[in-house]
Amino acid sequence: MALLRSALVLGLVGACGMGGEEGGGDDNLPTLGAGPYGKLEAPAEGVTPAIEPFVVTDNVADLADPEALPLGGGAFRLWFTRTEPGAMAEIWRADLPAVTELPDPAPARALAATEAWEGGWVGAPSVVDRGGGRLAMYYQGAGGIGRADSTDRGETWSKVGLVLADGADPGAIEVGGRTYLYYTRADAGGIFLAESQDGVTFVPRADPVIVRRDTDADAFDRLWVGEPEPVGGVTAAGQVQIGLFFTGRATEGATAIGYAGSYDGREFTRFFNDDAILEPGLADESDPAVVLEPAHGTLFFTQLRAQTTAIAVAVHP
Amino acid sequence: MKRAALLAVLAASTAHANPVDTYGFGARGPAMGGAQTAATADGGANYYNPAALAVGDAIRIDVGYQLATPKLSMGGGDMGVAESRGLVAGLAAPGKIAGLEVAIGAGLFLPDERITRARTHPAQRPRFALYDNRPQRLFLGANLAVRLTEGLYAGVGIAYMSRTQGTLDLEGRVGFPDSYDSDLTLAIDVDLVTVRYPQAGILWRARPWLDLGLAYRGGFVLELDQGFTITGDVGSEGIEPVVDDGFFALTTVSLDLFQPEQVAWGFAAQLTPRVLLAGDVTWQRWSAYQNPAANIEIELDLKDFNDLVVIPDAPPLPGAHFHDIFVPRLGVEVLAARGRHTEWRVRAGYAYEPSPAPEQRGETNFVDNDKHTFSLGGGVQIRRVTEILPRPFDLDLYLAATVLPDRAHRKLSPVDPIGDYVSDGVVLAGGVCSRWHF
Repeated sequence: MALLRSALVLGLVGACGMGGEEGGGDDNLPTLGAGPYGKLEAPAEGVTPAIEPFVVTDNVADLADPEALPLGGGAFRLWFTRTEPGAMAEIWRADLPAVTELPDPAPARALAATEAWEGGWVGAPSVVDRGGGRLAMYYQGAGGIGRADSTDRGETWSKVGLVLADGADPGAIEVGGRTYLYYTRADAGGIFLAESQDGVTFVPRADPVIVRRDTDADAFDRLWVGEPEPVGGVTAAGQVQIGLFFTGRATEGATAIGYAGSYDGREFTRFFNDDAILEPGLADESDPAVVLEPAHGTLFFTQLRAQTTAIAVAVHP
Repeated sequence: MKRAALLAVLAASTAHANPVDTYGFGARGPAMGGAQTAATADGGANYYNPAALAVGDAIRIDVGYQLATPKLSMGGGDMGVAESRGLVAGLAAPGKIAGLEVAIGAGLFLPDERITRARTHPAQRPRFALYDNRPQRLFLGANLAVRLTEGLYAGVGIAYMSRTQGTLDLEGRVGFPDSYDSDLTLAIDVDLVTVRYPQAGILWRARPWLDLGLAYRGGFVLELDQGFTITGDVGSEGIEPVVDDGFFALTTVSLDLFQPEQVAWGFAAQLTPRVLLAGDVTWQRWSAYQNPAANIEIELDLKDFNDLVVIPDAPPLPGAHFHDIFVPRLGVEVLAARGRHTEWRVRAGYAYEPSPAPEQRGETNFVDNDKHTFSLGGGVQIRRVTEILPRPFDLDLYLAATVLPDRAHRKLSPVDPIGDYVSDGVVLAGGVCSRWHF
């Protein structure tokens, strides 16, 4: 393929020889944001404080399950699961001034297990922005999925309680006054959906909305799908569009991140010729958290770094 | 040797008309909303209606400058579509041949940045199909008009475009695995081929106060035809080549420029000695617009590696599905003041151009909106400027704003890589033009 690539590169550059340039109408092109994504790389010139593609690292603890909220001006507020060796998982928070900078201030605990149903640990946060500084966090504990609310844009949280027993890996989105909660189950494969009018009382649907593709030997999600991250809402053109980023596991055990889209939150279509939207690397990528803008997407995910997992970032286009 | 045809994967060209189609010609015409089929009286006749060249007995030379600044967006952000600006010039030279009153004319729009620009984009990349590359080319027209009888004039002419046709040949060694290690000699053979399309017009003075006009502008499609070949070895220097005496050829044919066939009907009514009202309706045949994506053919001979190269069959190109449109225009010109040596006129106009493009719901993203153009202008004619220039001298200017109201594009597929978007924008234009009578 490198042979053909050399020839094609020279050929297409020579024969076409054209493309985007100043005044080319190529600025701010709309995009669905489904991908493909490329991991952030260190700039060719200069140095950034971050260690690309990682944005939040910890020398001692595993960091996983990121969730992101844009703060404007390229800044993000992240929540993630932090697990120290020998300790129970907690949800921590970090503020990133930019994806090329280190968290400022240093990451700190946002939520710890205090309720009986949590079984001593909490993790896998999914945050819904309800406007006016109000946030709803859906998170996992030993007994299922619970909810906590914030009125100060995630500075502090007050727990609401268990909302879905026996669920895991929540991914929530609120569209048109209705909350769609995507999750996995220990007793069945696939990504499931529960819907709610008030964000607290959920009605689960019987069948999964995304299943593994065990008949496709080359599929990145042949063995397993999970860790859903819904995005979307009402588009500028007035349609409801919900995209679901998720993790898939292939035969070899490697994980990668995929995307599927839907106009009703229940029937999904796979994207990108059924391939992953982030080119899988040697280190497994999982746990997507995506912030979409009209012409740009930022994907936070979990990736192994040295001996622990950390939070990394990829961008589109 | 393997041969394959690939369509549209990489190279969808933007295919548009010339700048005078978009923004008008001169300063008087655009000020009056472009309603000039029966009302044109300057070098703009070379575009609007060549028959009008034969009206009048003075040689007229127009020289001016036009500028248009698009601010177009999909989803809110300015897409950075290029400005159009350049020199505009027109000539009308009446005379007599064998007792017949005739006139010759020529019109020119010369962009001051590029004579022409051809662009290719990834096939699905959204672009404003009628603005993205539309003004980035030269317009040149030449016309001949004749007075058939009292009050009846006819004109015909040809407008010129050019297209490139050529090949780029590389011969030598292609570096493998490091392509930067290549050692190639380059030969370029490109022709600038002339493309001509006809235009014609009739002007009839039906009443002393009423002129009626009919104009035709031929349509055309400009093909961009380029080839590229590499012959030679593939491998590293000093080592036996991986491929000995290989061959690779790529040919692309795309539609770089499209102008719809047009027929314009118009009137110019001198309602009062001071007030002239003009109106036009133009039919534009956009249904002939084809998906401009490039047809790419690849031919290669990589010897022992031929079986490793799999070139997929090309999927059929989605159609553009543009439709014909009617464009109404209205303009008014008022003699506002008259002095001993001067006449001052103010002008205003409106044009409505419905979009010929459907809502972009599928794979294509040839975006266009309805357009409402509002224009204002004015001018002064100065007579007996000096003894050197006893004939009148005119100076006209105009400003125009074309508003593209919001248009939603809702995709049928929830995984369309572009997703839903709303296109909108505004184009601000202006110009100044002088007219010299001899």
